[in-house]
Formats: sequence, C-alpha cells, structure tokens
Amino acid sequence: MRDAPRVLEMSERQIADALSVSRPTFNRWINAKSLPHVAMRTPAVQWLIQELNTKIKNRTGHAQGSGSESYSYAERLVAMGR
Amino acid sequence: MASEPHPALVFFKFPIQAASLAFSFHCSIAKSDPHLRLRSEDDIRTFAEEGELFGVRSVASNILALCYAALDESSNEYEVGGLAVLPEVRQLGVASVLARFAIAHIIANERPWRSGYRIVAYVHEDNQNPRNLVDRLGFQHSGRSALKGGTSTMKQNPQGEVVGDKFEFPRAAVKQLCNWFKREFRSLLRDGVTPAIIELKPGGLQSLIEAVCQEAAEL
Repeated sequence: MRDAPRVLEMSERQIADALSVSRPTFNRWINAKSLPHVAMRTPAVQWLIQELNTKIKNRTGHAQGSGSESYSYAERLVAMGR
Repeated sequence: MASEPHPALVFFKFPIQAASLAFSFHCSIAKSDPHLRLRSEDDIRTFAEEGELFGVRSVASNILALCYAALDESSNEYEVGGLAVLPEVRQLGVASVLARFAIAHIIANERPWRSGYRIVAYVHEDNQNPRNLVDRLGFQHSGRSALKGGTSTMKQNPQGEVVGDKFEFPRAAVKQLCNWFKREFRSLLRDGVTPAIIELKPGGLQSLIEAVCQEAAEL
C-alpha cells in the first residue's frame, strides 16, 4: 500500500478517490497509523492489483509476456507493499 | 390510486469537482436555518478535498441532501454535521440513511476507537428536529458546549452565545448500526418504494456492511 503512489504514479488523493476514502485516511493507512477493516482491504487490494496490471499491460503494449504473467507480477508487487 | 414512486436516490461521497455545488446547496439551507452552522466555501471545499463530504442526488444529479464527517485532529473527533435535506424529500428517511452511511464509512475505513478517536455530533440547544434521529442512530448525550466560528447566522442565547448539545456515538452502538444495515435497510427509503442506492467504490455496500459488522463482532 505504501508503494502504491510511486508504483502507480498516482497522487495519494487520486488513489484515495478511487478507493472512496479521504486523502488523510489513505495517508494514515500508508503510514500504518490506521488500517481499514478486513472487509474493506480486499476490494482495495484488488483495485491496486487491477490498476497495476493495467499499467504493466500499457507499458508492455501487450507485446511481452502473457496476461497471467503480468497479473502474478502485479500481485507480487502489491503483496510486497502490504 | 397509488402515488407515483420517487425515482432512485443515490447516496455518494462528494468528488472534489462538485465542491462548489455542495457549497451552494449548503448555503441555500444553512443561511435560512438558525440551527445550522454556516460553513465557509473554504470549509466545504476542504471537506470535499479531504473526502469528508457525503451527499444524496437524484437520478437527474440534483443534490437533495448533504452532510460531512470531518476529522478534527486537535480534539480527536470525527464530527458528523451539516446534515441538510431538501424539504421535498424530508419524509423519506433520507437523513437517517445518509448519516448511517457517513458513520459506517468512518468505522469501516478508520476504525476510530483503535486510534483513540470519537464520533460526535452537535445539535443546537433549541433545535428539536434532529434529536429523535440522533437518538435512533445510537448517539448519547455527552454534554453542552458553546460553538465557535461560523455562527453568525445561528440563534444566540441571551448571553450572545451559540450553545449546542454534544452527542457521542459510542462503540457499543456499532451493533445497532450493523443490525440496521442487515435487517432494516433493504435499499429502499421509508416509503418502501424509493430505491436508495449507496454508491461506493471499489467494494460496494456489501463490504461496508461486512466491515461494520466485523467491528460489532469485536465488541
């Protein structure tokens, strides 16, 4: 989560908007001052994976690697940031 | 003959781009309501920028209701306030759904009690209208205080002060909130025919309810 703004090249506010939380809330999450309930974490992480996957696909122009390889790479990156 | 049902109302978190619309709506009600604190445009813009502004819109995107759930770090309080509903939708229980949506959002995303935060609401001492709602939501009276700032349009007491009752949403009330979402809220408003759509990315209403009920289960 902490690496999401850098990896996704999005501002904290953009990510907060996408996750329907306030920027201070997202800031507290990435600074480990608070965490959402588990029920809210799963869709948030799924969104991060999806965004990351899209970004990777756009970067590679669909030319390199299969979708599933990109997806697992995205999942690993997100897992590292959790 | 049955009256025509209202079209769906959408409960949503205000995007930054709609801050000026929110301010216009807030002013249209707060300027003529001596019990409502008139917030500045900067206040409303900040609430929207910080994702602390919640609203209700019609399918035609007209704003019908508004409230904020703003964190004041100096007092460790989330204040649920500025609750304003247009007269034409006042009998539908819009305020009740909107306030619960805002409170649930705080609980699900912040887990306020773990960080030592409280959820509070203020009601002008002469304002009887929201007291039933505040009570039904599970708030408990916790004191009185003189309000500061933005009170020029509010009713003052003989001493020139604007005094409000302070209510706190105790952690124990989360069970009640969970039960309301699970057993009473059927995505319909009080008339039983107007759909109430809670727009929430990315997990939707179900995630919000699960989170609230997880908090309740931890009590």
